[in-house]
Amino acid sequence: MASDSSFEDWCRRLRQSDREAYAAVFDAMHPPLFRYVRSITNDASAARDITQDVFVKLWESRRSLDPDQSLKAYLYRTARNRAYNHERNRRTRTDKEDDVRADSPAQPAPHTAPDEVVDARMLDKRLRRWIDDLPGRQREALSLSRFEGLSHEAIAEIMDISPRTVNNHIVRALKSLRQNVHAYEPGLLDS
Amino acid sequence: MSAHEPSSLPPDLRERLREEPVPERADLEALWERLGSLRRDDEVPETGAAWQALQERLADHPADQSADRSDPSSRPAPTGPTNHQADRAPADRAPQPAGRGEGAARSSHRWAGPWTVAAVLLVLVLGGMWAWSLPVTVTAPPGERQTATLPDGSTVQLNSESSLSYARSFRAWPFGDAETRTVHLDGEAFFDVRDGEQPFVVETADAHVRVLGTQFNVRADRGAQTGTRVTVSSGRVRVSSVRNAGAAVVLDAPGQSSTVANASARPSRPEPVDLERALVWRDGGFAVTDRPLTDIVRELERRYGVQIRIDASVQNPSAPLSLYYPTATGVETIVSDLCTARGLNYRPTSRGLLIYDP
Repeated sequence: MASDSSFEDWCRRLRQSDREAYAAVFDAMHPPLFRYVRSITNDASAARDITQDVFVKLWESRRSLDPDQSLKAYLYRTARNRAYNHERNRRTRTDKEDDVRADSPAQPAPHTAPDEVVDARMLDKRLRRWIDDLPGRQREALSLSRFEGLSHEAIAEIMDISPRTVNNHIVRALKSLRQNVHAYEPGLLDS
Repeated sequence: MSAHEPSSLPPDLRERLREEPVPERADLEALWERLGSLRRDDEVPETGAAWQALQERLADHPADQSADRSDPSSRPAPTGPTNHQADRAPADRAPQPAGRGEGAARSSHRWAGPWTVAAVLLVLVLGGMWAWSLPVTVTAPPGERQTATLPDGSTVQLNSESSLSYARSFRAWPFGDAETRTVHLDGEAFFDVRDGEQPFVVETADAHVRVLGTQFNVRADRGAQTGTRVTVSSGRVRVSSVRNAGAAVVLDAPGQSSTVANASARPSRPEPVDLERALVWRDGGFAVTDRPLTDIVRELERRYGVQIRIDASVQNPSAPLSLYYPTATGVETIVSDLCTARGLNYRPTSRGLLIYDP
């Protein structure tokens, strides 16, 4: 991940419509923003669209960017607003459809792979699904912390909660994942 | 195992977990570690393609259409020519002839039959061309290697967990000549390229490698975000980043190597590497030079398709280590050797292997 100072530099150049800076921000932030939006929406194709929206918005409002504010946090917040809006709209429309999708069994792994790989992939798949099943804020805090490597302070700013609450969300998420793992195969976490 | 806390645990969280009873705390910490190796990049769109889609979207944007100064896609890229098709200005799009829709509407009654037939034929032809234009993909799953021959007779050897795709006969459409022989690589591959009229181009998420008949190795692991490394075995290649074709590096001596860190980075200055080590994977061997234990373990997982965990008891898991096996060697032998070198031990688990500090 690029350092804070390169974000400051990009922000300054973006305000002057520097296309290279725009591309650099895109390179640095597209994958993490996509993963973040995906952790909120549970829908890869919607997440793609929303992530794209975030960058369109960034270009449109480049002139009014505040150089004193963290560009990274701004992008995460924009992504967050759009993702939650999308979720709100979707929930009112297709509640049942989604329930069916969540209950469908996992796809079998290709049988060409050795057993250990299949097992590791199965566990990966299950972990991902359990993470998908976590309550929204817990999943969000856990993803930002574990997968995007953001500090508790940064997460607190993005989610507009206190660092203490961030901590609680993560601990609760870990605890419910732990329960799932134990139910799936006790002893998996022992070493 | 909680005597040495995992280094990846954020301080606030580590502090908070101290409040938990010991067995549960160890579990939660182990879970935190396990989540670190969760592969989550399956769905992440390829950055290059996503960029292109964004450019098209911005070019279409009504708000920006007239005010072309604020439209990034209509400005010439300051980084020099790029291969993004979508970088063309909106004006390049063929406008619909005025009045065509009107005429069709007026005569729609009389000509419904022929128009329908024409439309169906058009759909069939376009559909056929579209099906034809789908890329061919060759994949080597974790733990396996794969060799493929390309339409021009060039050969490619793919390392584990790597995939290569290219247009059928290197052409976008069934007719006309291909301008380049372009392949897209995610992972690691060794290329033996036949001499040909058209330049041979390897595209990765970060770099373009352009050649005219040579042997070279490209390594580009998208998930790891470690950039793309190109090593020449014989001949001559030109390396540039995806978005900055101007700043290129030419590798023209055996063993020369350059790395492109990301899609807009400048390729690193050519440096000599040990060719035998760089290409030892082709014979099933394994070589790493001064790499952190965590990287080596990830590499072993990829190569052998097994899961290897580093226990939290292992101190300083990122300390570097070198290993060299010139011929095919089993994963357990390698793990056993690296444990001996670091005073560690390992044991099989239900999922693979666990490395720990006895």
